[in-house]
Amino acid sequence: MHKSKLKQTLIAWIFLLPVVFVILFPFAVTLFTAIKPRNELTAIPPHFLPSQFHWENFLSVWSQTNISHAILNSLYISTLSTLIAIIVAAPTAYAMTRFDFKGKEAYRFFLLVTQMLSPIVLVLGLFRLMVAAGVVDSLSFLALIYAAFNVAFCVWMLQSYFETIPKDLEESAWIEGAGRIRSLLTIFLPLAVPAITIVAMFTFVNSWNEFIIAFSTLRDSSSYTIQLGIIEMTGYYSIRWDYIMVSVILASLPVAILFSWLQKHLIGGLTTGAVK
Amino acid sequence: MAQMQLKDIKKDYSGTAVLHDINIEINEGEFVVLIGESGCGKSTLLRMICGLEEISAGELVIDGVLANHIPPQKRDMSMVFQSYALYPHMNVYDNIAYGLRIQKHPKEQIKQKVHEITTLLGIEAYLDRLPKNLSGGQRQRVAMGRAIVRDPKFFLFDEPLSNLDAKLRVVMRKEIKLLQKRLGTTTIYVTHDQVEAMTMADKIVLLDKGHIVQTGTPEELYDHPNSLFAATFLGSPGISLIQGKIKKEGGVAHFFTDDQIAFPVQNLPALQEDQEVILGIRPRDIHLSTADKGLKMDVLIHEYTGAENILYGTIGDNEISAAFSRKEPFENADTLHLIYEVSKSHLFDAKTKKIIL
Repeated sequence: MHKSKLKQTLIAWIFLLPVVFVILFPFAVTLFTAIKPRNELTAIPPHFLPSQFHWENFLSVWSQTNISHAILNSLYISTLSTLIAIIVAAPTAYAMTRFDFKGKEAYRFFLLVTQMLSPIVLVLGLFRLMVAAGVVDSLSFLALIYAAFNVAFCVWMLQSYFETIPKDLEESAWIEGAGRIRSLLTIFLPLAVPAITIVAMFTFVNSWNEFIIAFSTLRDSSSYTIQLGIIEMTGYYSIRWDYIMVSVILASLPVAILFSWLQKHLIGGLTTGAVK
Repeated sequence: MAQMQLKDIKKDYSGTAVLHDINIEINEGEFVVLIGESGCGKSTLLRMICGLEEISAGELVIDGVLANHIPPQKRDMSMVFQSYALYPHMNVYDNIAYGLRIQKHPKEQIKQKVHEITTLLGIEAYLDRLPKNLSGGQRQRVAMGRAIVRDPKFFLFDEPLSNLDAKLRVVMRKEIKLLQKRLGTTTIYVTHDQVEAMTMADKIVLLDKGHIVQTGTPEELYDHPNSLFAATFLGSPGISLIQGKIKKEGGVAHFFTDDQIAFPVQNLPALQEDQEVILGIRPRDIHLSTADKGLKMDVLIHEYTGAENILYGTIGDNEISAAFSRKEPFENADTLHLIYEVSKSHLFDAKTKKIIL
């Protein structure tokens, strides 16, 4: 038994190692580039490992570039879009699971179809809409757009989960004298919170990472998100790759922390409702 | 006062009728059991009584007041669901206290009531536990505690024992009945288990495909079923049914099976010559006899339950089951001779399936 397990482990890792290497290599390059001395960035032959670790690059980027402002913009947009998406999606998902109404199936189909639309297809139309409404460069309006893009997914996921919350529980609360709102807040919501949290995280991450719409609709550098802040650095007379890599790390950190923290919940969230 | 009348109650879903002309009188303190097969509408009826489903037509009158549109919050009822519906994020104390808090009882009073009920039900040691850390029987008791603590006018039970093992079911059946007797609360109990119905009910309402087949005490339904359905639904082992025809000789009705075996029957005035009938004999109304007096039975299966010997076999081509108590001396044999209490047997018209009186 031991021998065969060892053999299986070896074979598995022989296949997995190249994949792991391919995935981790860009991150390694990013990190080492971020802390390399400037003269080693474009040296020939190239040095993979830095000769010295210039951790002060992180401070330099923070103080010398627009990045801190961009991070705040990203935080604002992601948080606002998440809030809007949840405020819209949660009651929608509740209605889809608890109420019977005409057009429910058509609406469900509509949600499915809209998820298939890529943002890039709609960018032109969105931009014209923003110009007409005079909201180009508006972070709040961008948050609204992100929320709109994520609502369908949120409703879909929440509905699957809400269907696993037995209707019995609210009915029992009603018989005990609880009104609809009270039973919703004291019985349903506490049980829905795990799913709402997962879905909020998905939305936050999607909004944080979004580039195309932000790039197309934000003009002033003061309204740039972190993704655009990084691109902005390539517009200088010389490309400061070390600064760019620092910015990439700063841009990836919040999402990486969230992902690792919620890792087990995310996998659960992805499969929740898939199997009864 | 806690009495109810259901008058011509109907229920339909998008044009499909699931309950037809339901008329039931429920008196104060009565233990009424709604029984029937799965899909007969008994749970739907219970849900209409407590306000979780709308009544399509007819009147629900509670203590003289029309209650069709009174919301469930205001009907002063409590319900024990089949799944118990315990709030999974609350411990036993909070589950039971939930309804009392809504009624705005003072904290001390809630504490006292919860402790009283949990002590009565033997679950006071589990007040801090979440439902997921309780056994099936304990959850059942918590659900009952939650139902009782508010002292409502009506208790409603929707197949509360279905999820319990056989032994626990017997224990809980007794407990529920004792509790109801002690509290005197009008109770409406839904089940598909005829043993529960027979042992617990003051009144049984037998339903089939949305219609009431018969209403009465357990004795009335068992001894005087009004139809084949009622006769076969209640009683375990089930009633033996023998098909045959009536032949009249000198004005006296005789029953012959298709393979010409004569079974003695009551000489009912309504019986007609050549009428196709079904004879129903309860297994416990059958007794052992001798070759010259009895009907010859070929025994196929013998079940020994400790208290009884139950035999399954045939008389001619006709299937029959008999149950003898331990008091009746019984020898394991392939053939036996039987007699039965003719006055307790029933005759049903083969076409209408109704009792012939």
